[in-house]
Amino acid sequence: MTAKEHPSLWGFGTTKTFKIPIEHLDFKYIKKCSDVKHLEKILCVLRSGEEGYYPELTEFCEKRLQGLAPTSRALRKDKPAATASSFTAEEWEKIDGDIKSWVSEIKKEENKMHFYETETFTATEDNLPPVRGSNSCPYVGKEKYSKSRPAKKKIPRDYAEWDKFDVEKECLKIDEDYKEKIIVDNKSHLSKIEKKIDTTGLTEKEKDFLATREKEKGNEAFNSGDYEEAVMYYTRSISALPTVAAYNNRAQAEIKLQNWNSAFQDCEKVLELEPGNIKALLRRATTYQHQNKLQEAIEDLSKVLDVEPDNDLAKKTLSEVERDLKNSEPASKTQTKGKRMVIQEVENSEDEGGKGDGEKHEDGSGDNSKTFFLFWLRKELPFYMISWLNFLFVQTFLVYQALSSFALFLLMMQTLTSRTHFPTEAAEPRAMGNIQKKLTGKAEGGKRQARGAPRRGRAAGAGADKRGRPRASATAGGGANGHPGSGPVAGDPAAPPPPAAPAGPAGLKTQGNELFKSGQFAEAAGKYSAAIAQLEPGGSESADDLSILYSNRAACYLKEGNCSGCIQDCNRALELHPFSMKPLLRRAMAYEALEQYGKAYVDYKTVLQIDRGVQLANDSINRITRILMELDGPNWREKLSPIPAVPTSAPLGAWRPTAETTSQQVGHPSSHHQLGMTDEKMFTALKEEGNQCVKDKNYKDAISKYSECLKINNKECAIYTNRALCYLKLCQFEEAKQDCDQALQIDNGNVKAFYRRALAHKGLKNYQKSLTDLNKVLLLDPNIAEAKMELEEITRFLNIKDNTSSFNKQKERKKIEIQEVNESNEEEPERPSEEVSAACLASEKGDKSNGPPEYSEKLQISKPNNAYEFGQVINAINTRKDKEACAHLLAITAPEDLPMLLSNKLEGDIFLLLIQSLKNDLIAKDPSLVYQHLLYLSKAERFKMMLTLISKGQKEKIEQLFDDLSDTSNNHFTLEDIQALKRQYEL
Amino acid sequence: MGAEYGKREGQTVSNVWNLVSRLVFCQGLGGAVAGGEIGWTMSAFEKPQIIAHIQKGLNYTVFDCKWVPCSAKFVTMGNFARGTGVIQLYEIQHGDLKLLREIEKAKPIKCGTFGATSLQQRYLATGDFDGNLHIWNLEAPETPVYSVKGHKEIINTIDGIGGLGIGEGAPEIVTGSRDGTVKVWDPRQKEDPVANMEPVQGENKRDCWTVAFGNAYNQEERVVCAGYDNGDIKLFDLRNMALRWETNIKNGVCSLEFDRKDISMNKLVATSLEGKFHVFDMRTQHPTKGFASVSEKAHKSTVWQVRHLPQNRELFLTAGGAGSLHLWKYEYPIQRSKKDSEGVEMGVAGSVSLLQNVTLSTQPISSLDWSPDKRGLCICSSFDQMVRVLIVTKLHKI
Repeated sequence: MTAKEHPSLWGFGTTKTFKIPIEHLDFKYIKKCSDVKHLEKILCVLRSGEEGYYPELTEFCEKRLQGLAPTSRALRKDKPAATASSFTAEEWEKIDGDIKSWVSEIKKEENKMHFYETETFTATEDNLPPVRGSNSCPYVGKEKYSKSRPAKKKIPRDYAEWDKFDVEKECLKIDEDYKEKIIVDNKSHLSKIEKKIDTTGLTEKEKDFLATREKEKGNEAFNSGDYEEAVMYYTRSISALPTVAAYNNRAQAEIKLQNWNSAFQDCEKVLELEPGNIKALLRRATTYQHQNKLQEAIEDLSKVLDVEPDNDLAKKTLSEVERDLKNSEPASKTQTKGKRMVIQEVENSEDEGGKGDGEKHEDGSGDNSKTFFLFWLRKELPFYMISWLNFLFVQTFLVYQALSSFALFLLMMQTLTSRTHFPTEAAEPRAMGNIQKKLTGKAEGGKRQARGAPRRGRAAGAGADKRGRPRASATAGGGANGHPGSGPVAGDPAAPPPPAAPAGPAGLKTQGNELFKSGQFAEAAGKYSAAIAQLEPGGSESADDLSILYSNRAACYLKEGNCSGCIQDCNRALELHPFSMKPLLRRAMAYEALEQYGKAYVDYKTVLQIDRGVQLANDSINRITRILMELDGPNWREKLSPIPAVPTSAPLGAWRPTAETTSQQVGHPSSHHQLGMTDEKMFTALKEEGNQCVKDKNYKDAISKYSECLKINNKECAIYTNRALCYLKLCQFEEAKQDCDQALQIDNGNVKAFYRRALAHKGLKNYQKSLTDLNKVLLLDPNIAEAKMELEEITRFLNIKDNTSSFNKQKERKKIEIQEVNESNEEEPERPSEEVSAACLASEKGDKSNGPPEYSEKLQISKPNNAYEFGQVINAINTRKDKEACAHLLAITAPEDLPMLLSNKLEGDIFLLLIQSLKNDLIAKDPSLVYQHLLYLSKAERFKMMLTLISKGQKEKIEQLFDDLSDTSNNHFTLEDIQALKRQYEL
Repeated sequence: MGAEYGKREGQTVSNVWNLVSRLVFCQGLGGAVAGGEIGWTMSAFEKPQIIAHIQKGLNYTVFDCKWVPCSAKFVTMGNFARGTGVIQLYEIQHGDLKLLREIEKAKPIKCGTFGATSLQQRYLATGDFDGNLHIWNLEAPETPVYSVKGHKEIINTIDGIGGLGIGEGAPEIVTGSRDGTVKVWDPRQKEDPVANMEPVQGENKRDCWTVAFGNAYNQEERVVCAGYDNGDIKLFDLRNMALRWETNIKNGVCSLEFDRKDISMNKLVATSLEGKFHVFDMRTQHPTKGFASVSEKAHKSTVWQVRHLPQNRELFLTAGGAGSLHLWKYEYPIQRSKKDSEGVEMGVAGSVSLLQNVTLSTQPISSLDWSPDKRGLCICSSFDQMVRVLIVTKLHKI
């Protein structure tokens, strides 16, 4: 509703200012009006009193405006300053008393300070940096500058000279520097701030002053959300004078940054300095909560609640923690991916411990202003939380594993021992192998088998009930040995304990297994050790048994937490039996426990090479990958030791016998069948692994994988093309070419093979052949843009080879991003395209620079648009004394622009350079252009000055140029023109 | 208004008046503003209140006032009607001001700072009408500790850094003058400035009205920002000795201040002749667009001064030509920087909100200074020859 819509029907006219219809100055109208601007105008008119004085209407209008736009400028009123009478007596007393007490306090301090005055004065003086300009010449260019004009220092510098600094210095260097500075991200300055304040020779008062100041800076940074900066300033504050408040605030900032450990330490410091500090307790509780020390968190929170039963924040956190505690218990059932977290935000500026406003106020009433942020943090939990959940999850899974193998073992024991007097441990590898198999299956499978097992093991009549739950001792074993690696072991010795165990290694092992089951890991390890000691002299014959014993002992050590022992045993087991899965898994877990994630990763990967289906390994890999990425950044892979390639035969060799022996089992394919299957499986598995490696940019491994594939089947075209890709990435062009040749032999219409061969040819600088291949690619599929681009580039390369002297080509040079052909075939790994193309680009760059070397040497010259650009270019040329480039620059510059481009920067050396390049290069090509340039050069700002400065020899050169110019006949200028111009040049 | 002053102050004041005439000319309406009603709104007592605690009339024109660090004392600087300069040292005692010392000097003193002195020495650096830079020991003010004829004309503005524990690095003083130059001085170097920023020969010399130090977060980094009568703001990088940025806010720049001198440049407030102020977010500099800013029409007349609260950099007080004081709070945007279409970082300005405003006088408030030691304690001087001690309450709650 605006004024225009309401023509003044009543003829009351309008107000003088703003021309508002008079009838708008009305209660009804104002009530309806929602146009803030219009209301402001009405209010202005009403206040001015030009239409009369209506206090009620004015007030009404104000209220209306207040409702619509509380921040409206029209509502701002001039108010007198408040006085004592504006406050209640108590308030005023407080304010006045505050000032009075401060005044008396500061006076005392001041007197104290005078006392120190003379003593400390010199100390501070020494710390000062030198006088600016006396020794600091940060840029070489600057020195040059002042040398060329020694009087410089006295003369005040003008803006232009300030500007000029940029140009005068080595342009490029400064340019980079400047850009760098402009792009600075907001955090870059942090690294440049000193972490400590030098407080030598300062009085306590001054230290306190500094510490408070730094803390305030920290508070401000905290409030503006700059937590890293805040931490920095709190650290500085602490370095000057450690205070409770600074530690406390730093703890809060660290919590914000989720540096739980640092936050925890700060809280500890506070509690050391001031036991029972509520805020520190609260914050420590938060760090406990996130470090999964829920019990401790509860303790701290209850301490807080003891002191302040109404502390909302504490209550809230406590309920959170309790819920966490509950959640974590049944976590085995519900795999929680995310967890609810509470981040407390405590109003930080109130944390001024001790200053002015009392503590009780900041902690008590401050609560209202404290806000809670609840949010879901997916997977950002500390690692152990996840691993713990994982552990529970795996535990349940392995109980099934144990059960199934247990039942199986019973069956076998019965058959074997009844028929032969085969030593007990002979059964061991089978059971183990079986378990290895089983591990590959999902928990589902394990369950099913476990259910089936009792049926088969009925003859044994003991060990398992119908629900698949081992009775008596077995239960203990299952429960205690829930740990992944130990599951199978627990299952192994589940036969009814022989009344008189043989003293031989087999007996010892059985005893060990028994003990292991019952959770006596140390004793079990002892038994295994004894068994090992007996078998050791046997050498290679008992290698299998030894390997198992080591592996079992490793399980014991792992249980005991003796990770290094576990690793050692696993190593021995693996020496005897390379690439057997259990020791690998156990070693991986031990490494993980020792936080040697890189090694753990490698081991898990190896396990996965043996069997992709091991869930435990897959999960662990995911987990560790995340950890490693956090630890080592995006390039974490580079820090890993190489993952040993599992030879095709190794895992199979290890499995086959077991597979054969267990073939009597229901549901297992015959060994024969399996062999046939394996080749195919292996092939696909290897190929997938190869593709995976390509994805991970681990081209070397990919090549070895593909090579393995080819050993199995050398008729697969895709493998060749894939391997060619890897070779290309590694810049092994010759090999790539050969692979492409192979691929083309199999399939002579393979676009990819052609394209890659083209790239290989290009890499080999065989541009002609490359061209042919690219043409074939485009013939087969004219829509491949990358091929077209390549083609363009190759053509250009060829042209350049023919005509290297062509100058202008340089301008056209552009970086061409070579995007790989998007492989639609399913065998091709899908790559994170950006990264790969970048890598691709990098390799391209590599061979480009090898290719036509004259390329990169030259300056890139483009038409300058302003004086600055021109100055940059001309300076760059000047430093190289590159007359050719200068001639080029002049050729592309319009002569009329020259005075503008040179502005006031015409210097002797540049002038000479211009003359020389005109004389050497341009005169022959385009005399009229030379004339034009000379003409306009004479109109440049500092031209006259230049002429007075140049030497005789230089003048002669100019004269020569004019002579040359007059020799060349041209209709663009006459001899008179040249004479006139010569006079300009004072020749 | 200008004529009024001329009469009162006599001949010498014409100098001052040349300086400020342009500013005052634009005040126009200022005098016509009627005093508001006394009526507190409901939320009045939750907001910070500005209390005129002590007022004292002076017998000279006061140009600048500054707290003496670590004390309840402050100095006022100005000129006597007889054309001499004066420095007075006052102390708060029992709710009143006690004159401790009066120092008379040959030339009227326009501006002063304690910014480059140590906490022990507390020497006052002043600039006078003749272009002299002096450093005084207030205990022994007979002869200056340091003296240099720095400028050809009046020194309008002065700022110091490196002292009082504010800003790392050498103690330095920057002066801006009507002669168009901005010079940086190190008290340890006699005679010559350590840096000098002057317009090109032949180019119009602009009157420099305000200077400010900033970005002194370590020993190397330091910038000087200067504001001119034509609305130019220039940011000089002292480390690289280069002009880092410049802009024009269309109207004369009366006052400039970084929210803190001793951190990586965070915010810069520039106040202008026609009643506006601009807040620049100095964290992110775009190669072409420079720094993001927000502007606000604050007063009905010239904004003479801006001063950030030393204890909270997001709060600042502006002093207007019509004797009004406005207390502002800056609020950051959710994201302080964003990428432009080319992927280059550019800053995002936040918003300012008015917390409180009062009118103290009908004459311009020429200077303003927060106590570095006591939160909420403030002094201001105005052209009605008054100096006031103000208390701003409830600042810790914002």
